[in-house]
Amino acid sequence: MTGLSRQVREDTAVRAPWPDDLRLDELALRSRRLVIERLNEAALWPRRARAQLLSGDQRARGEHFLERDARGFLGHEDYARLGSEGIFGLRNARLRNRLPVVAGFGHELGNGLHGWLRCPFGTRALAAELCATFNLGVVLFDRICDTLPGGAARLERLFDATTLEHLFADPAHAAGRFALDAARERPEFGILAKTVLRFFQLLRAHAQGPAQRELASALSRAYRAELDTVKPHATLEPSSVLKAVEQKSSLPFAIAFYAVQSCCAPASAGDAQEQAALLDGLGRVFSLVDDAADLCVDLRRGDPNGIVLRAADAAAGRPTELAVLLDTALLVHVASELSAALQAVYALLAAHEVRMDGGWRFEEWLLVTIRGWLDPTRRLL
Amino acid sequence: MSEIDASLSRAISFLRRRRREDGLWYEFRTLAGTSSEWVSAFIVWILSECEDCDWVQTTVDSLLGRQRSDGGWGYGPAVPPDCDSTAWAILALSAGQSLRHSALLRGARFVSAHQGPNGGFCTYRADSGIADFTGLRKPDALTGWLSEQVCVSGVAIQALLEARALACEHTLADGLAYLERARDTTSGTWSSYWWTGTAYASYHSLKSLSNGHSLAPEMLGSACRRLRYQQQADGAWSGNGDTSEPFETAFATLTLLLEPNAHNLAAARHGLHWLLAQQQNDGSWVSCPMLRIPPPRVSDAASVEFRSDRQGARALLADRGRAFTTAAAVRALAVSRRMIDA
Repeated sequence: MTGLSRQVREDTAVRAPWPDDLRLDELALRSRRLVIERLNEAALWPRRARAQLLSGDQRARGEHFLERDARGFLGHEDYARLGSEGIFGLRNARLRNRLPVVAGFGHELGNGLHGWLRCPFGTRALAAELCATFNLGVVLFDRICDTLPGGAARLERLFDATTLEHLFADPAHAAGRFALDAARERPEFGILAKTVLRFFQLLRAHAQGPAQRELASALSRAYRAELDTVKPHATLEPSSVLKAVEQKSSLPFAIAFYAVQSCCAPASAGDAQEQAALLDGLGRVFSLVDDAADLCVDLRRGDPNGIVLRAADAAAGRPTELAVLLDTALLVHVASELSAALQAVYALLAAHEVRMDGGWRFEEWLLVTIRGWLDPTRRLL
Repeated sequence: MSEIDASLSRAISFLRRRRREDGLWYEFRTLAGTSSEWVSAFIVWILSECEDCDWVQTTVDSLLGRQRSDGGWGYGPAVPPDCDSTAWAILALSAGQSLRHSALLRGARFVSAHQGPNGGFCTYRADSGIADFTGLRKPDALTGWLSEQVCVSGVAIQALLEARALACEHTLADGLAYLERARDTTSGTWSSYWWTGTAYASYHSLKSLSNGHSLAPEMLGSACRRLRYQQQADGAWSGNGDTSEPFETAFATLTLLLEPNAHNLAAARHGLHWLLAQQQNDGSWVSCPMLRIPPPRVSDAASVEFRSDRQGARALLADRGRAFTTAAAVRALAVSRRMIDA
């Protein structure tokens, strides 16, 4: 070793840690490797070819929903606008490319929940449409909050808790007013309003039974969680931000579940304990997967992320969250936690032997979805 | 399969066939050689809009391996890195959610360093090595290539927004303000330094302003009105006289689709039909000369007479392999796919 290179190595080791840019690369590789290793060990990482097949199928169903249903309830111009590069600012390309995935995911989730709840075959298409519409609405709401300056505050003003109540009671009137006000603001608000209106129209036409109360409560909590995650962190306790981040990922599954339960006439109420375990498990799994998949991008952009918040909580004595994530076993714990939660949900789904359209098993769909979510190129989805 | 899907499929197959074994495309032969890094980054960004293009990962890997030590990419391996090529590389890498965050951040810093005093971005910095490369070492010899340009700024700002390096808030604000000021208030469009026509610069300026939440509806409206006025009877646009050109038509169509009202959708549909009709049997579109090489000392390219039979300064170039033009048409088709029922 020459004198110069020895000096550089010593300087690097003692005085200068790796630049944060390179540490981010390391974090991206390490977090992904850890999660995949854990899931692979537990036989929860499906083969690529099989995953591509199922993803393609799901995407096609999403395309079909957009072409047939979304075009119908949005109208020609707003439907074209949803596909244009002129809305949703920075996240535009990702949103447009993922629309069939977003709709397809909701469609297949509805399909699977319908089977899991043993609803009659005649209501299967309704379950799929309900969840596809709902998931599209969630993503649009999320993008407005994330990308439009002051979007969350404007949304809160347009779409307050009273509007939510009125939407249950009289969707046409309440959403009509909301849509009118929204369209005056920006096209994104108008598109969201029409999507929300469609979801509540479906509920109004089909919902019955006690699940409606659960649905209303979950919707209200999800709405609050979404708004809390975009508030400046300083205005909330770190524990509240973490809770909001977790709920933002988990509550949509509860809403989809209660929507299918209340609209699609399941044969029996089912086992309440098992249902609670499924909802908790799905919420936990997708919250962790979401955080793991976006870990580095969220860290780079300063967006709220459950794993980063846990790292910040553990950062006492260390300079940054990045140091905690790279120098402690936090990521190992997260990967193990995800694997355990996924195993539990997998067992709950497999026990019901649900077959979806195309002959896929519900639990297989779950694994493929998670693999696609964790694919850094997101091309599998 | 719709007509647009079928056309896209043929065009993507063409692009795949045109790519070389090193994962790159080569187009635009100049005195500096043939472009590889810049052209390839542009095409990867285009293909990020399309399905079933996993195979571009080889190009992404190839581009990652070619990032220079200062964080930039260049026209080709022998040419000093520049702001425009680097901005395209950032957009290409971001589109695929690369795990190499360091490459994006280093690239973003390189691009930021090209911002001039008016907020716009220049192609080269004086210390880039371009003077040695071209042999033009006199003080004013490179004034044009070192000055802020709209067509470079429109892409640079999109790249910085995409990389979202936290330190560049003011860089973005100044850049967006520059683009607002650079608009020709009479026509409502933006002129380009390196390209014929106004569609390329207008599209990227409007896209930057939209992504940066600085786009006034009136700006978009007047640019679209102008483009509708300029549309030729056959549905195409021309960047260089009266010849109908796929490249100009692709970017004019993309601009109109930024605001999909009934008028714009009708004009875009007309443009799209023209593009579909012009596709060649091999899936490509014929290239017309559209890349200009302004003399390095000249800042205002409008004052220069370009000729397609020249090499070097004042040359007007087509991409003879057609990959660049075909990629532009692919973008227009892919974006319009869900917006227009062809």
